[in-house]
Amino acid sequence: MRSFVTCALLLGLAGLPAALQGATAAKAEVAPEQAKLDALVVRFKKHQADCLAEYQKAQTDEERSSALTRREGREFLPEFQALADEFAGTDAAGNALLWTLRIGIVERAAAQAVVARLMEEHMESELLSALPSELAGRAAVIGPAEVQKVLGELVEFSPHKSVQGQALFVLGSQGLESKDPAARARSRAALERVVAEFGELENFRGKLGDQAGGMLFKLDKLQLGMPAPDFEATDENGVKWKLSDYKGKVVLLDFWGYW
Amino acid sequence: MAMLPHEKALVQRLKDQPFALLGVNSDGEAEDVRKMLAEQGITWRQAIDGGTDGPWATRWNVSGWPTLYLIDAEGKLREYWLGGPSEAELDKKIEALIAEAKSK
Repeated sequence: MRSFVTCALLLGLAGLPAALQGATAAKAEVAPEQAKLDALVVRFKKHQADCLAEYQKAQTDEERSSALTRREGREFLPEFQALADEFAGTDAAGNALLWTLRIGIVERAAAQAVVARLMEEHMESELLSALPSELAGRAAVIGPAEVQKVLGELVEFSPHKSVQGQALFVLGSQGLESKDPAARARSRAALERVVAEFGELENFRGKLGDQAGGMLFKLDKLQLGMPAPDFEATDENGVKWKLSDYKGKVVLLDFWGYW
Repeated sequence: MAMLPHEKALVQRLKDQPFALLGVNSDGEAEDVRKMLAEQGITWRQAIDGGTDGPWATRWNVSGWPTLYLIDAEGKLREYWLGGPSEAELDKKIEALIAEAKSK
């Protein structure tokens, strides 16, 4: 106990309640593979920041496009892959595999192999909650049918609600515009489940329930020819008004910003 | 924002017609938007939506700005644009719907 207190003091945590200190100290014992991954991610992000700075300073189009290409950081791929191999099965290895998808594998077979490994070795882990959005972003490389299949398996076999919900959300948002009525129906069912069961989960755009609700609303209420859904708004002076106040007039409704 | 000059011209030209331009603004709080509207000389009605994740942008599933809907005099959705149409296309569609409204 004494050595622990000393350690916490050294870390500059003396003012924190004891319980919090315990949690922080436990967290501070990072597994070696995780420490290695963290260091690699820090280097990768620094590389990206450096390239962005170069891009902003660039004078010519060639310089700009070269900075953008280098910003992808493809030379980091082998390092992430090696880490995933060396520590196979650990969460750090799973996250390293996710990084290889994120950086962008361009060969279909290689990308599918990474996804297959994630599914085989990490199905029990919650780290797969980050997989659905990566699959959505890489559908063209991995293949849309394969993406659908993997998302379906995540919904069915992951023990984690966060993984199931993220997978359902991507499944639902992908088939909405499909020409196949059965695909649209599956998509709708998935989004309805997201709203009902997984609404509080978030992605980079906010709560999944709000986004899925917006997509369903658009499908049901915002198709051309339908009556515009009424809405109540408040103007810049705090005065309330409704869309239906303008019935009898042709209305151009403009979602805009001055940014 | 690129559309502002044309929108001002539209509002001026159609001021005696059954037409209204309504903005759903995602710039921020009412206080700041009020200043910006005054500076820019924007006179048409606004809904203050707060930000790009505001309640109306979320509800109407707006994924890019500007997004425009054209609604006829009976309140039906008739056109949708993500990113803004050309000035000529916008004028043509609005004028057609005004003519339609007057013929009824």
